[in-house]
Amino acid sequence: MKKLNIYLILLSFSLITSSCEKFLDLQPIDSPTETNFYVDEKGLQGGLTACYDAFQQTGIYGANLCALGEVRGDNVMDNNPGGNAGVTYQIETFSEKPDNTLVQSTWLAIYNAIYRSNIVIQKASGVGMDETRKKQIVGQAQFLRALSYFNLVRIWGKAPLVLTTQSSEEARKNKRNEITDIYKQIEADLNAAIGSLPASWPDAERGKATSYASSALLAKVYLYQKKYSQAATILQQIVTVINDGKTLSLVPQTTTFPNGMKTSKDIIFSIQYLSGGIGESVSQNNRYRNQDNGNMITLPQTLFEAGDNRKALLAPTGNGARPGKFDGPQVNNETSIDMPVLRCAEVMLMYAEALNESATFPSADAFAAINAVRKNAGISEINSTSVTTKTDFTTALMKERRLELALECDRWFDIARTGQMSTIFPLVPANKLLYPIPQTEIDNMTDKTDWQNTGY
Amino acid sequence: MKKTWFLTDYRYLFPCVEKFFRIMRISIFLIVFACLQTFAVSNYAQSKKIDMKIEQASIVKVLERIERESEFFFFYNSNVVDRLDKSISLDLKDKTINELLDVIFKGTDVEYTINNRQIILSTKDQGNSTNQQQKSVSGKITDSSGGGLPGVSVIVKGTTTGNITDMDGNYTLPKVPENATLQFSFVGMKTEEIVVGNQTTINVTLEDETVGIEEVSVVGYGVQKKRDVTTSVVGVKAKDLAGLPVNNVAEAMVGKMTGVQVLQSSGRPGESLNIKVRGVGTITAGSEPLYVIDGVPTNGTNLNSFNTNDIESIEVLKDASSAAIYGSRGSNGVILITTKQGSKGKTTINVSSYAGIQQISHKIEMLDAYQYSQMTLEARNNTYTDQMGATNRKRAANGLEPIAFSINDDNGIRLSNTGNNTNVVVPQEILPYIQGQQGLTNTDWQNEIYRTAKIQNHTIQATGGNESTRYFASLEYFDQEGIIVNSNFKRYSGRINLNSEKGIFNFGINFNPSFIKENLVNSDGTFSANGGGVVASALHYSPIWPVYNPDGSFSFAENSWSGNTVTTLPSGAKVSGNAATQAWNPVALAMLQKDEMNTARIVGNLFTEVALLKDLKYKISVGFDLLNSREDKFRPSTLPQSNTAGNPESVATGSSATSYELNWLLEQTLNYKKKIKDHSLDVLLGWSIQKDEHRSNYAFASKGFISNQITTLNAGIVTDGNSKVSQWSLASGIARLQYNYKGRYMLTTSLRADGASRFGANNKWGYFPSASAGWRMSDEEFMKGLTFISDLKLRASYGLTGNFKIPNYGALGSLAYNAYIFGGANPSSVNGAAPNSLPNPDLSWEKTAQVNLGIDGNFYDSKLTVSADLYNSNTFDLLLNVPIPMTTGNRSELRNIGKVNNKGIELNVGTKQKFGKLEWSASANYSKNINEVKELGPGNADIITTGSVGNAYFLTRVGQPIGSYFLPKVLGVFKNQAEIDAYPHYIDAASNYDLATSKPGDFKFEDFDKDGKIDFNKDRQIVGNYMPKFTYGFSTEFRYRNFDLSASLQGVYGNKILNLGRRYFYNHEGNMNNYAGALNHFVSESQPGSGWNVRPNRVGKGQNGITSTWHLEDGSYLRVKNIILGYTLPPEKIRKYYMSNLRIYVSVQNPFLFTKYQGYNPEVSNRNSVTSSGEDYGVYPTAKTTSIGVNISF
Repeated sequence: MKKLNIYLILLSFSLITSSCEKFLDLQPIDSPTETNFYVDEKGLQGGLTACYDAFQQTGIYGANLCALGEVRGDNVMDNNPGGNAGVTYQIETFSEKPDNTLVQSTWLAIYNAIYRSNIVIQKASGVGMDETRKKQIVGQAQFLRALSYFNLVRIWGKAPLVLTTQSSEEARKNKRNEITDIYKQIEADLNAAIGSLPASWPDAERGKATSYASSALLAKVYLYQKKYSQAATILQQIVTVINDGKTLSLVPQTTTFPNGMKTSKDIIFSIQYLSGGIGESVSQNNRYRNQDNGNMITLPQTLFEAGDNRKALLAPTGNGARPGKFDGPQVNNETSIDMPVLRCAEVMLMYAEALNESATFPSADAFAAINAVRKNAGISEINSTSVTTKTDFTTALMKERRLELALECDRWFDIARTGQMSTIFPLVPANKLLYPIPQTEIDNMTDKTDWQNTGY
Repeated sequence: MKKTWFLTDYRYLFPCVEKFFRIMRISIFLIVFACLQTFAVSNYAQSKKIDMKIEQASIVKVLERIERESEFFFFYNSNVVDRLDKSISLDLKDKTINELLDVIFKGTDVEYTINNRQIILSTKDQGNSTNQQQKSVSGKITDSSGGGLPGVSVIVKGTTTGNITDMDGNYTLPKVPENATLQFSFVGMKTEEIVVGNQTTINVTLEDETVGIEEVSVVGYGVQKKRDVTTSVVGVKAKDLAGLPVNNVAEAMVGKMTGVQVLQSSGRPGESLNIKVRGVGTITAGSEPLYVIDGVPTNGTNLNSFNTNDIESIEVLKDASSAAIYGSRGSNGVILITTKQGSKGKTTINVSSYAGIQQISHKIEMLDAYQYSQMTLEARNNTYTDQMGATNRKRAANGLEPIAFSINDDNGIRLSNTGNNTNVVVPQEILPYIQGQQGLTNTDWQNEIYRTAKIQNHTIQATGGNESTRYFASLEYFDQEGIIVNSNFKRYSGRINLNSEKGIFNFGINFNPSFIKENLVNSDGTFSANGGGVVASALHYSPIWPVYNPDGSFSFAENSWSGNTVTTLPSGAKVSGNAATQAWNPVALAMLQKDEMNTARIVGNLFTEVALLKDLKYKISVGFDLLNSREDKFRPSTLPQSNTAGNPESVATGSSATSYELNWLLEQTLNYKKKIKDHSLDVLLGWSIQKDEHRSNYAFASKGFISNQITTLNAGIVTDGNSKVSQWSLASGIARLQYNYKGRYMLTTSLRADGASRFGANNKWGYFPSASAGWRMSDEEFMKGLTFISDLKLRASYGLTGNFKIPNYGALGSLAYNAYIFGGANPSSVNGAAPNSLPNPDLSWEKTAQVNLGIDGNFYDSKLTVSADLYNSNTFDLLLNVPIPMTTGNRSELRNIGKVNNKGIELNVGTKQKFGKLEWSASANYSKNINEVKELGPGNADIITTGSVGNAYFLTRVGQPIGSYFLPKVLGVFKNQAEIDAYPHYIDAASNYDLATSKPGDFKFEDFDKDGKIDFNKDRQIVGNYMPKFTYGFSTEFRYRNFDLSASLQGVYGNKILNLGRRYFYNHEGNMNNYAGALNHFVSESQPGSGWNVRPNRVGKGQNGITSTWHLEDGSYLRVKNIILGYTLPPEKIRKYYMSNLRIYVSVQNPFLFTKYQGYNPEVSNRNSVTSSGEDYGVYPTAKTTSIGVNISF
């Protein structure tokens, strides 16, 4: 009897121990893993949605690009040295160092967005589904990856070109690629996206990248590289569409901003938000709310000509208020205000710029393009009588860009790419055209040579 | 109390109780007997009638049958045994036991003594072995409080003749020779020996035994005699916990355990305590010890569901050797909590109650409204002056005339001159204060949020049982108001511990349900967009505002202050804002928001033990911990939005979160115990599996609430929610061998293998060996002459333990959900997913190897006890969140990399003395731990983390302790321009025309790298750590007649605290209220103030606002943790009320605190991470509790 007892017990032990490995193999129940998610169309589509989501984050269009692209420029001023440990104030006063946490979090957010795009592009080949829809998914990921690299290159210049997912060991060996190589990749991604994306999406899917968005971004990339004729060629097609007015169209800013962005034909691509306690909103503080002298609007009202419908949208704000352009409704600080990335008005201005720069004197088409924007703004047209030289046209164009695209995270990059920094900020050293590479990133590199931008 | 221990112990020693007893020496019986007999029914022997019909059976068989058919049982000496082989026949009816036994033993020399159910058999010759004159001796045995001690064994030394005291402690012993020595022994008491001489009445008072021979220690998977323990274990017993008005078990441990730092970082009712055993060995993984409750390793660390009164003992396994039996979870130490078990005998009822009041231990001295207004004015004037200086320098550079200005300029001119910089606006509301008008609002916000709060606890316990079944049952009600208004904690808990034995079987169950109802206030942290922490808000909220509007509603004046300010410029334009920082009325934050938490928890275990062979036991047990909670929150619309003119109502929001967590354990062990002559062997083999499952639901309603009165979500519109599941599992095998020779040489080795679901597929299993040895020197012949040495033991141990506290799926590349908005006219959220971590299939345990050397000494019979430990512990394969290139899309990755060393010394000195009627005991302890990081991730790169503010840096660097503060060092303030020019100082960007450049009265920072420039990236330095240089504790107890007085205190030396709240309430910016110390600020060269307090300035210049050593404070402290004065009523006065014990006491908890720290509580640490510990950004303060209580036994 006693012996039997012992045998029974030993048996029960062995049963338990033999099933141990299974007992210890626990997989997440409430979330997928890499191995079981990217296996079908739903998984690929879900992965793509996460690529869009990356741009919503604070590190990119949620907040940081407003600081890097506008506060550093001359439209908005931060005079709140104590706010958030002064990271925005440092950007305002060109005193940021490689340890600036805002710059660092943007670097991380952009590479996170690239990582998400890379996964979708990589995994797509293994997913069996309708080829057209798969091409659309990959095309969107390519567009988003291009947008990431475009932001990366205009903020920091040289940076590692990462096109597949990397392990940390691989990443430690990364080097910074040349700016031209990065642009080459951006162009390749955008050309691919143009070929695979539709011109528009059904209203329920609005917000997804289109072929027009890809073309417009490609043109912008050409402009940054001063490839004006290539820019003009591609822009011309979109201008035709805009002038046609069906899918895209110029719309007075007062219609688009602050509440019409999701439906306006002016918007080619924007980062979308929605309030209502669903975790998809953007805080009103991150839409240029003037708190303790942070986000003081310094765009002079005097720059606006009489009757300009954009003037009121950009009036200086009092304490706690937002500029009209982004002053949509808020509930408990949450707003649904999108951040436009590409608009028809900008396409017109880019077209005007490309034409002007690729000729010795602005053409009629160039005037037509800038005048379309001015007309839309409710101000008088200009012509060769009032603007007599290419340089004058450039000046008028830059002013128009400043007023039209104010607060759209573009002003500082315009100043930088067009060589206006020395005029606008005479005391600022030339190396400030680019931001410092985050020190924490350099610390992680095996070979740290040539990792920092000059002057930091 | 020790009695129960003994019981547990003897069951281990003697597995087959009944059979074994019979061949034991009677002296041992009697000790056991004492326990069994404690509260026996007195007249069973007279009332029980027995029938007996038997043919030719041995007396043994007859006795066995009597045992079966009645509740009697027999004890007998081995020399009685041969008398019992005799065969007899009986046919008797309705006889008492006396009558029966008289027949059975007729014609033999066997005598019997009946003591209720116990019957002792002896031979006549024993008592008659001498021809001495014999007489009867009687007397009464009492304990130190004067109460009669039942069940004390009284034996004639050298014989087996003896008896046991009755209910009241009385005994009578017939036929005692005059030259005999009587031995009085009782478990847990010192054995007394008294020569009879000519006395016929011998009354004895037995004393408690401090280092009792039979005192045992719970060591994990069993108990061990304390004298045989060879590892480093500290413990507190129930006796030390009695009378402490503490909610949390851990609080009772404060200052009493060497090497165990118990930190009460928050005073919130129900808050869990932070326990650190021998420093911190881990960086990324959790640093909490493992809690094992009645043998069941639990998942949680919050002990607030436990009734302290139910606890029998708490032991902390400190060294790796003792903790290695818990393998992968032992690295941070193991805390074993054992609850009280029932004892055989009549039911005893214990009632414990206390009630008291709690108050904030001290208030912080702040500026009053007049002082605050003055500082605000100065700050605004200085900002204006600085701003105009920069403006005029810029104008000069552009060839323009300077603008004339004066600090008497009105706000319109100020704004106009500075380009609408509202930092220069003088708030008009402060002017009446400046002018010195009397009778203006002057609110002390601390008085408004703190209150005198009530606390009460009532426990009733019953314990008792018979030979086969014992029980302990307990019911509790605990009610504690928080010292912050609208916070409280209520607990209803119960417990049943049951144990039943039958033959070779032993069955037990421990069952502990509890229900907790809490109202929480958001006490911690600084102000935020949603309202923020009440404590910090009360400190920095301006005293010029009232709590309530005249109509009785809450005033939110400060929240909309800036927004409501409109200044008309000379041009006629209007500019709004005055740059006052918005904050919510802290009283409204506490009172209006609802945060209600309901928790139901059931903790328990069941086991069955089978004695397969005499020395071999098999045990199977199932443990479980089921935790259900629900938290409902509501923020009413009456709390306005942030910083908005006119304070419009907000939109009410609410949330409801439920959580279900089940942790179960199945464990099987085989235990073999054998004593052969001088060799004792104890072998344990075991297997266990444990699994934890956590399920939670969350719903959030962001709009649509129909009323502020109905706060459940059905009154609003639910807009967001989720449901989550998470699991972990652990499978383990354990083996342990304990051996000792003559109790003089002791050896323990153990091995545990753990497999955990959390680790990578390639590295699921870990193996944790340990060995320890002890040498009781005092038992050696050469020590025998040194009579002052009562006990001396040397210990040495080595062990390997692990840490598995990482996220459940840490080794897998799991995905997180990331939704996005698609749609034009009808946009909606679409769900997506992306990886949020990189997979690491090699991820495994973090391991700690520790060597421990110890010595335990007892001199002059406990007049001096000394215990010392020396240890060296290396943690390797750290579970480290290593920073990785962000180009991977992730910022860090969990790896097994790096090493940390902890070494330290622990010392405990105790004494127990008696001066006439006064008994005194005291114990002091000292622990020093040195923590050093030996190795980190790739290239030993520093780990730099930030606290709640971006530039509050913490550094973890090789050669340094974990998580040092890494800040610029302030050397004082610049006294004049000449000093600035001669010393490196902050220089503003050229484009800013020296606007923010250091000025007289600004901080002078140390140029740490001596490069002649102030660049904080290079000038930050290690300036201290939250880990103390050493800790110490002291506890003492006096007993005089029926009075007892005890006190305990704990001290910490050499730690620093980052009082981050100072960036608001000690910033001299005039945007918030400040410490009263701000009055000593710099005004001018001739009025330099303290030399440390900067010049008031709304926009700090010279980087005054950067987190620096200005925000760092010395956290050393000495806290008197409690003082208790008790009085036990003489037993004769209470007996008529059926009471056997009645003690009343007065107690003060946290009465005194000696520290230089300026915040509320130097034990504070807002952040849990060990790499950024020690931050104070507003936290619930600790209370001083005064209470009166009573313990009654029936």
